[in-house]
Amino acid sequence: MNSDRSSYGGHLDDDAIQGLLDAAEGHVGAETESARRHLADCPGCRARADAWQEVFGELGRLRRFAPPGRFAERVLSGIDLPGEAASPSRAWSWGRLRRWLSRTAADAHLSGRRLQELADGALSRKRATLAKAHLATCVDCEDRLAGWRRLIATLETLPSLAPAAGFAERVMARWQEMAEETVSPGQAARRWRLWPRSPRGWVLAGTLTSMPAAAFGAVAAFLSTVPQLTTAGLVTYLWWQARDALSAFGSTLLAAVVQSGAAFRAYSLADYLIASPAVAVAAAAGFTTLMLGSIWILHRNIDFPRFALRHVHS
Amino acid sequence: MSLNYQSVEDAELVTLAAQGREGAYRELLSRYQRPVFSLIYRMVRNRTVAEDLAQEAFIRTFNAIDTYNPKYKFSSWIFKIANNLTIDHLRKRRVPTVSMHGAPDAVTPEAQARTSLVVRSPGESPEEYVENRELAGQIEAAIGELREEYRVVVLLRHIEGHTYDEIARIMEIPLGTVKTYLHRARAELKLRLAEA
Repeated sequence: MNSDRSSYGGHLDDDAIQGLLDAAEGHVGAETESARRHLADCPGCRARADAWQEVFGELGRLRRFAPPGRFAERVLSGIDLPGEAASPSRAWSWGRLRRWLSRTAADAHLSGRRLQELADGALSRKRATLAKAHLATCVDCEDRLAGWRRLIATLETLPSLAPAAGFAERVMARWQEMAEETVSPGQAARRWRLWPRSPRGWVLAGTLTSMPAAAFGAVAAFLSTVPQLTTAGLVTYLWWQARDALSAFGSTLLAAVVQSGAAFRAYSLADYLIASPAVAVAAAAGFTTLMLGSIWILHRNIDFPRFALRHVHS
Repeated sequence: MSLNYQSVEDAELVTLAAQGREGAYRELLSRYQRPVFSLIYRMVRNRTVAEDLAQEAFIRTFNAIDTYNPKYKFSSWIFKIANNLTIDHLRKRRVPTVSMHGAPDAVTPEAQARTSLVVRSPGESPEEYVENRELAGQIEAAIGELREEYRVVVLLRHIEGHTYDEIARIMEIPLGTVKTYLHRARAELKLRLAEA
């Protein structure tokens, strides 16, 4: 609204109209009577006064807000009472500290999670101390804490339930049964080879290992009955026999190689490779790659059986 | 010379078991058969299934005994194996977490009786029936209505007495998640008990 008196000529300006309205609440000014007379005679000023009246009414109906809970106590706790402060600066810092502590520990209600952790003994010492400081003054939180403690106590009274009788025996029997079923053939063979597992096995192994010694002893006993045969003569005879057999084997092998032509082909290949070093290197590289590839494939495909279930011996 | 296994600590028992001492295996079984079975039974709420799962848990534990990491408690390890088995079983079977008083959609008394978890099954012995009734108390019923994850944390914390860290290790979830699960589980239990 325009508050410039000149724009209205002899009419009332906004201040005069607001003054009239205030006068209705007891604030009477010097120009009130003349203004009231003008208002009674002038329809234009009366209409503007009605508009202002409406604004005043709206403002009067505005809601009053209440301060937060314990506002008065907080204000009082922040006041430095005479005689309490040794020096202004110290009193000021102590007041602030006290207000800060009162905000964090004493005023804020504890959350359900915090109360649960306190009841469960899972709160850190520092947090537990702060929580207890609040609980000392808050009946509501104390009641809620008692509720959580009752719940936890109820849970902890639940009994541990036992399996049916003989459960442990059944587990052990089943486990050993599975171990017997899953022993790998390789492990069984290794165990058999290394050590006989029964008296019958021991008898058999003993018989087998003593047979060569028995046979040798029998031959020696027979030879000792022939008077012309001496030990040196026997050794010489055996040596001649071995040398003749070795010589015959060598001659046969050499004749087979020469007749098959393999030696000639091998010599030709070696000669070619020596004459062409690049081909030799390529052949060596190819051979190495092939070998490494073969080893890798073997490594990936050979199953190294793990002893999944073991026999147990007390 | 016979060894008194009862006085031997878990970690040493595991070492002896790994060496093939049957007595060590038996002692581990004796110590943990009850808590492991108890946890599984409260999860699956069927004695026969619980015994099968507990047996499987022990066999898996014993077979892997030489992979045990002594840095952690043996109890955490065996509970981890048992918990994984149980959760797998529940997911495969799609066991609904219904009330001990019947499924949520069971309106009539007949439907409630039919879907109640304490109904005696044809293959259940009278003795088992009586024991299943032990799970029919208010608090047991409330635990049975919790979702699986919440139920496990409550059982591990308040019946088996594991710490929050151990529960996190057993369930392979972060510590904060354990706290959240416990908080929500207890809040649900409190609500259900207040409604009962």
